[in-house]
Amino acid sequence: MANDKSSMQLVVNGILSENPIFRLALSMCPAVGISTTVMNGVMLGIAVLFVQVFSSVTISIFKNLIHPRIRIPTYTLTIATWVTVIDLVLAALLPDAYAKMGIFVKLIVAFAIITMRLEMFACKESVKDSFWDGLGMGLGFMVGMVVIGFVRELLGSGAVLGYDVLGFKPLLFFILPCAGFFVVGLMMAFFNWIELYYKRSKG
Amino acid sequence: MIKQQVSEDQATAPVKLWKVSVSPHIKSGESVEKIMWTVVACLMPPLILSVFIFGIQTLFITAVSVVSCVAVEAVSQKALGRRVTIKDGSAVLTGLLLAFVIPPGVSPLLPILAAVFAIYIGKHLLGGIGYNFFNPALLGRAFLLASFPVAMTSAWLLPVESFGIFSYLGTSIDAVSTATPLAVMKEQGMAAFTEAFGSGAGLYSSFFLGWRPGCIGETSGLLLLLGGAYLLYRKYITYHIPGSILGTIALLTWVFGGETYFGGDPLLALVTGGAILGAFFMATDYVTSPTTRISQVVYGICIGALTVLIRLKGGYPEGICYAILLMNPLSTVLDSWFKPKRFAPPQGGAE
Amino acid sequence: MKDIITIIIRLTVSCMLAATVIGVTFIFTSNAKKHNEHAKEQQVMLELLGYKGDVAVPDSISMHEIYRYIISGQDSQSIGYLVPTGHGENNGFFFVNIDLNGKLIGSKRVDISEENSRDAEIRDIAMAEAAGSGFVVDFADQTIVVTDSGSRIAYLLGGKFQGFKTFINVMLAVDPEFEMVGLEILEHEEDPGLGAEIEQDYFKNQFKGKPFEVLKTIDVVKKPIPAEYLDALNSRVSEEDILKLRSQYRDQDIYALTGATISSKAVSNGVKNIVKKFAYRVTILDNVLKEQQLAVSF
Repeated sequence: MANDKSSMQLVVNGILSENPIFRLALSMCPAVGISTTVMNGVMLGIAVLFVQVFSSVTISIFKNLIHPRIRIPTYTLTIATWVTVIDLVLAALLPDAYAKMGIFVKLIVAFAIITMRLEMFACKESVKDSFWDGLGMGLGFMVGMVVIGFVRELLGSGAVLGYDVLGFKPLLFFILPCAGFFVVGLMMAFFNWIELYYKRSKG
Repeated sequence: MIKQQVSEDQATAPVKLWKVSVSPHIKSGESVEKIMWTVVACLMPPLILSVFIFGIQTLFITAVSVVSCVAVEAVSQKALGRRVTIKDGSAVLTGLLLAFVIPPGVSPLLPILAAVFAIYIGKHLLGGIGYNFFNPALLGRAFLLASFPVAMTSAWLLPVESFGIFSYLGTSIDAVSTATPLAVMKEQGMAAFTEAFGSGAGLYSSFFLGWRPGCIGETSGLLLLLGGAYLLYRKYITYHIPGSILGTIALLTWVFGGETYFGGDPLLALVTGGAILGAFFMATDYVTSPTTRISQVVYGICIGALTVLIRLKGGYPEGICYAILLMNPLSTVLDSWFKPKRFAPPQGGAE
Repeated sequence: MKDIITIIIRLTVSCMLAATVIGVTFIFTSNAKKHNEHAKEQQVMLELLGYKGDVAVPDSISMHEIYRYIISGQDSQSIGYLVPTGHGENNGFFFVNIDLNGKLIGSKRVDISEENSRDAEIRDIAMAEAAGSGFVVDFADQTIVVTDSGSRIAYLLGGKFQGFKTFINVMLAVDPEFEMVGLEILEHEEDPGLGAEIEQDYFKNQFKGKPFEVLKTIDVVKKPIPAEYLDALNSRVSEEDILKLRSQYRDQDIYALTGATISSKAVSNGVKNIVKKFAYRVTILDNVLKEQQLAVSF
């Protein structure tokens, strides 16, 4: 199956129409678990971006060598390898951020979005397209995490990127895990509503 | 034979006379509005009494809560393109119940926030009137407890003395706040409880009448029981849910609540905390409770057991709010487990 | 059959590839990772001693790690310490074994370098060797003695105790007279907004400057913190005023956090126990070291 989209379209596709969090509703556990601040969202987003791009490219390069009967174990192995690499590099380069979210970086192995993109896209398409698709998906995940993180950080701790903007903690509720579900749900509804509105105004 | 005759009659009769609609077909003088306003009326005596227990600011908090609930209901129904139904009293009831389950010393801004969460997110975004699966008032309380844990767990007031209902106005709550009986019992033990609140018959009677620290509307057990009894008399609610909740709480507290087995105080467990208010006015909410008799009893037993579990082992002193919230979404599941017997056989249908 | 063999070969090859990639990354990053872990710890310690931000640590300050083990034999129990002999050339440790009544059982030199002593596994093996066969050694805790050109200025103590939910992990600094220098909450899982406030400055700083006599009987009071004291705790007033207010409230119990009395009590009791036990132990250890004339580095 040849891919008929340009590289730009692939990236935009991952961010907007197939956004992993808001449209595909995949990998929700980190979205509710760790998205309490913008910075957490950015950090996990970067980690996922790297793992997604590296795994997509790796699978795409070796797509003709992977035996179809063991492709899922191979995907898992690839993802696990890159996650371990990212984990080690983060621990060495960004110890402060790593101390906070090291456990979630290891969880990336089980992220549905990465395996799904390998199975749906990278194992069929060219290396170049897989790279752009991985980039789009990773960016889409990062955008989702940052948006949720922004809302929760602003409402939960009255700050943006760690800088106090309100001077007080408005609603502690939003930094509790349960609020993650509410924020994700409301965001999904909001984006669906925008899409509906857009389609309607177009006719 | 008779049936055939009827159908022949139907065929000959003018079409206009027959109006086909879904069940129920029995008509009565009751309507949603009437039931809701009756429940609101039943909650008035405890509200008025609360003014004499905690001071005039309870009336103010309740008014803020009711007004904001009604306003949010109207705005969200407009925004979502639904019929505006603020006259049916359900928003007023939610506002009243919301005010009843928050401490009397909180800032009046809190009920406004809770109203937005309870009515807009908890009620209208989760289905709308008749389809919401959480009790909105309790969802509002849970939201406040998560957002303002300090205010919601420490803004308790001692009952005012000699009807000085204005005595708490203008004072800093930090300076006068106290602890609820259940919190004292949980954190400091029975000895401290006896020292703070006394013991014996005087303790039970003053607790039952409402003279103790607690949420605005939960303290006056007597008036809440009278209100509940009126609702039972009018057959708006049945005894199954309140009976099983209160029975389970009493039984389990008696068994596990003391230092030894069978050493707990069941009567004290019922008159402290929000057991009576929850059992009669929260758990019996039509939308979020089961409909068949057996599932109502199971629902009540589960709520009672969860309440005692949270009270004795959990992190919070009072657990009925979370117990009801946990059981609310299960009520449809319970209904489908305990289906009433079908009279028509599955095959062929009624002849 | 052929299928199975290809599958096996391909899987093996991909596993080896993956292992190579991971291995290479590990080699390149392991040093930095180890360094980071140690640096973080070091930073917390220095901050506790008051070297925050840009304040440089003078060269005369050095830290000496004492490890405490519980040595249990068939029917006896004793406390074993690993005491450093010095930095630089003559670095190494003394193994000092003290029974529960404070009497010395035995001491000997343990040849283990300072670098290696930080690795728990190597240390445990060396300790077991020193204790002799038939004894089981269990790591108990680690104390750091801070010296300024040879004389002790502070002890850094770690500790763990039960909070409202799970354990609270703290590190605290006391001076040689066991007066509190600082408290840092390292790990906890208290409720956000309630018990989690224990990590706020206005709670932690209440412990600063409390003398040993007050710490021995410290408790919490359920009263709001006076406004002037609160400002001092949050470092909103000048340095002199902070010191003045600190000494004014020196004998005052800890003001409990609103709505989180249990967490506040857990911390104050935990700190009290850590300091009391440490004061008892270090006196015994000092006596033994003096009697035996062991040349230790602090």
